[in-house]
Amino acid sequence: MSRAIKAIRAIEQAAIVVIAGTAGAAVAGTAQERPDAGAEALRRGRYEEAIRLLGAGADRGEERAARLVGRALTAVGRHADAEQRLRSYLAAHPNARVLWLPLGDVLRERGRLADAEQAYVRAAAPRGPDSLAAALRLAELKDHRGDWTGARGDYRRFITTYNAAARLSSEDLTAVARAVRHLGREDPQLFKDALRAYDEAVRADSGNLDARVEQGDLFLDKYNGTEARATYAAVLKINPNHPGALLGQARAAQFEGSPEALPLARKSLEINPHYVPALVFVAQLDLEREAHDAALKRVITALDVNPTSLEALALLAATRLLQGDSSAFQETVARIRGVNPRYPSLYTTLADLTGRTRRYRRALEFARQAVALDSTSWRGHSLVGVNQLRLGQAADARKSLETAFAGDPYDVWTKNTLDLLDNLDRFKSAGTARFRFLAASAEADLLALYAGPLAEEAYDSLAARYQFRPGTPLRVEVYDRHADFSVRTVGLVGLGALGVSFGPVVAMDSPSAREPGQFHWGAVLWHEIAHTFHLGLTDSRVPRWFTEGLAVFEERRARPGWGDHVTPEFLAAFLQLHLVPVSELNRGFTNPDYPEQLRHSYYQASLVCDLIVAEHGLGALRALLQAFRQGRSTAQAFQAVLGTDPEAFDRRFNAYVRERFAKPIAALRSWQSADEREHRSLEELARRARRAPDEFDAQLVAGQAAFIAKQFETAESFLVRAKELFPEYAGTDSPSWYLAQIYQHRGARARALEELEALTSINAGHYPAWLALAALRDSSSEKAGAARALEAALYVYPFEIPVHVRLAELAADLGWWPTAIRERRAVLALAPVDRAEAQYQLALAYFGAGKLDEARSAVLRALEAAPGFERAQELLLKIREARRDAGLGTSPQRVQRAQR
Amino acid sequence: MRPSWGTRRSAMSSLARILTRAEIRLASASGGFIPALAGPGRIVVTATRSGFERNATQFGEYFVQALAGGAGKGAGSAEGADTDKDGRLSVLEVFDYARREVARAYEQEKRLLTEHAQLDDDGDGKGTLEPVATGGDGALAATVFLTAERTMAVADTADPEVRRLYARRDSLERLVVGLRGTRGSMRPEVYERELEELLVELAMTNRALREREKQP
Repeated sequence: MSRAIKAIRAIEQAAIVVIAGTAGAAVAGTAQERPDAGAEALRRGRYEEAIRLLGAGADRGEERAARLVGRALTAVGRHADAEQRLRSYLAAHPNARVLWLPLGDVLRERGRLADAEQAYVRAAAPRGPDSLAAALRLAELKDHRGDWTGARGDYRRFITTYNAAARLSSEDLTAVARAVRHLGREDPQLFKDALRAYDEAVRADSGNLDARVEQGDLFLDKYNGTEARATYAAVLKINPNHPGALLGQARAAQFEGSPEALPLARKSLEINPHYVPALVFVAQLDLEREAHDAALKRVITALDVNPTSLEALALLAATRLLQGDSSAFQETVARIRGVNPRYPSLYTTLADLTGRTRRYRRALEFARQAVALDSTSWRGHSLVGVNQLRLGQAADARKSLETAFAGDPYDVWTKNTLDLLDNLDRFKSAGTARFRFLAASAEADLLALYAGPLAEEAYDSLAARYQFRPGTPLRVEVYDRHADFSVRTVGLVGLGALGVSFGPVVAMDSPSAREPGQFHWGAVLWHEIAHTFHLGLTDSRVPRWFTEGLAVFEERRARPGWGDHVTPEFLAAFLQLHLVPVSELNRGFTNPDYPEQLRHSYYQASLVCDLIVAEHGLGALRALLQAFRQGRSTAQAFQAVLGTDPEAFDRRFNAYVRERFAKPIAALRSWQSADEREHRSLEELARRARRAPDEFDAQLVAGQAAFIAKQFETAESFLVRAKELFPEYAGTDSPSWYLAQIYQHRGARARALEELEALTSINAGHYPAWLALAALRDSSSEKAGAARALEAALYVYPFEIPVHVRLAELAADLGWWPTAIRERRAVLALAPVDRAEAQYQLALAYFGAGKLDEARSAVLRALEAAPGFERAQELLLKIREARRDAGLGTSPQRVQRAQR
Repeated sequence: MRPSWGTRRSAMSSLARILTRAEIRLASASGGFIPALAGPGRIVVTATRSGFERNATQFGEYFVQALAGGAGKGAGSAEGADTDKDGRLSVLEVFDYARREVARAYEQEKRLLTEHAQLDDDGDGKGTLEPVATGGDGALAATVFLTAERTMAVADTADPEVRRLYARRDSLERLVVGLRGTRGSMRPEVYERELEELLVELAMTNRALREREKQP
């Protein structure tokens, strides 16, 4: 099924006739007016200069200057000054009609809606220069109060006015665009008309930057980040201090997952510290990183400016909810209802934020409330669907998402999720006692052989540790396409994570979704199941950083070499103070300052858990989970359980890292990036290494370069030294890996084995190392060791038939029949060309295990495909004989067949 | 001397072999050879489906691997091309092996498949990506062998019992293939029972044949 996403891009044919016009009346502020220095300074964002020049003009009785100085003061958040200026001019010049609109805008921004309405009524007088703009604002006030019926009627009149007008000013066209945009929620085609009207507004007056910013906002609301960015950039080129454009860029950055979002929003607030939309945006970012106190402060600042801002009130409600302050939450909801009894965005905001903080059931409840209040809340429908999907309710999710998409066909998130559901239809399901697995049909049978038992083991192990058993079955979705996994998790492509837990549902990349050996899928599965436990134990209140650290900690406990391990990059970041302090570690996950910081934060959080266990015991981890369940913040939980505050813990953590990694830290003073090393010759690198025998980077790089040049003796000396300096390093380019290859080349089997064993004991995700280890052991007939190495490799990458074949052979030789059977089944699941042979081998494994029924079934399949298969024929007869000897009887047969 | 039925059959097989020709084109952009070379009794294999697939191909490597590895050994290896275990490799088996291994290689390397091998043997000049032995493209290719032919010992034996056992074996194999074709229309337990009966008898016949042949 294909869905056509609507894209809001170029203007197409509009339903309304566009008559671009220039301003008729000499309205203050239009391009036809003689430009002056004050107006130009305002246009360019030199606000202080503009205020000074325009203020002087206003003092001289220039009406246009008075209007513009009001705008300039508003732009920088000096609302009281703006109001005072405008009112005093009006007092002196009662016929200055052009001042009522900016006065209304100031009052509206301060939340004095009744006063604003009065000003707008004055501005809306017939044939006034701002009558259309004021009429729009009056309609928006109705909308703000929840009178959608009234507002809708007013918005629709704009279309009539537009179609009937001979010419309209840029401001009028902007008003039309905004009105039509409001109507778009009932008819999405009107968004394109709105876009066209904005275009006309800008053509009528290229200095109308507000129109451009609104146009950018429309692009962004309709998921077109590229056009939005370009539009805001065009505004900032003219006025680099435009608060609206800066905020727009911040929102576009957030849409793209860029870390620029917060700095850009802050820049907007530097220009206008009272800019409520920017305060609300930053507060939202604070909430996403679970910095509730910071969010509260910002929201209160916003409400001090505008106590009736519904967006700010919605965030206040969300903050109170996430802080666990139920009565304050209810009060805020009541306050919102006092302003607008039908405000669905309150509930979509609550749904969005509770979803981002992993409280999916709550998110679903809130989304349902949004839709109940307003059936055209397409965002609400979408959030219902997404959260239903997160909770495993796929059929219901589809219905909700179809409704959302029908109402807003621009919503790329909803479209992607619906496409994902179409793909999920082709997935195959397999179950164990407590898990239900869904995977692509081509690999479901294979993955089930390994994932099922591993998941059951994880459940038992974690249940014993935490004395908690999540409800079952738990659903595990394994995606063979990373793009599908990304959509599953946030609805937009490009996520870098490998797995996610929604509680009762876990989703992860299949090992086939990435390059072979790129990640350890077994460890990821264990990690995500651990999250399910943590979320359940804490009713989803566990902070992100702690559950991630604890899940990595659990990986390390599951098997040697699982879980993240220390890298030179991590220690370099530590030394350069690029790690996030433990007290703010959530930020490393939600708003990383640089791309690697996310990965570093995982490992850092796990080290925190190591430290806690080392100093307070395993019970402290459980106690912290309990504290979080009770709604305590990290600071409170640390105080209660560890007897310390986060800042003191930061100092202790730093000391712990220095102590634990003292040797490599001492050797990492001159860590260089790959780019810095790239163009150096082997001679240069060797010289550098000889000059710096205690620097890990110098030794490693020289060793690697010598290895590549096949100068193995030279390479060995550098690599041995590198390993001495940093024995814990086990990355794909670690000294041990190169040394193993050198020793193997030299025939020094024991030393090669030693290196590979050391490497895989720290990094069980090193796929080639496992295969090399298996081959070495195999060549020395150490069958059990070879089999164990091959088995470990399968939890990294299970899609290579020869690995399964060899493991099956070893297992059969060792009499490990369950393993032999599993491996032969794996071969079959991988659809080998020679299916008859694969079935025959499976039959042999069953036969060896004494499972005669299964052996018979498998050998029949082999012979069905290849009747002349003599070895299989012999096996069939042997099975019959064995069954007879065991008293099981042979299958019924007629010895004398009718000749055909 | 009247030629024996076996001799006549060999002669006819030889004639059939002369009349059947296989063209194997393993280069990139080779797809255009199919319409050019197709004809009655011709099997045409190309590594690509058109002249536009110009990247270097892997098909040839796996095609040769199938032949070089021999027949009848481990699944998933080059030696696994003899999927019907008759001890010889048909053109269809080698094609199928190479096609599937190419797809597997691209999948594991996370690359888009830029080569699509084809086979035409019904002479219509249109290749098929996944030919099968049962009809259309693939039927002829399933009967033309690229490796040594199964020994027709029956042609050389004077032992009537051996001849009878060979005939019985061949008949049973045909019955199995026939039964296989009716699987969809039978109850599973009935199908399984009949299949096993035939296969057991086939196995016993083959065992008896080998023991008989060992006798001096």
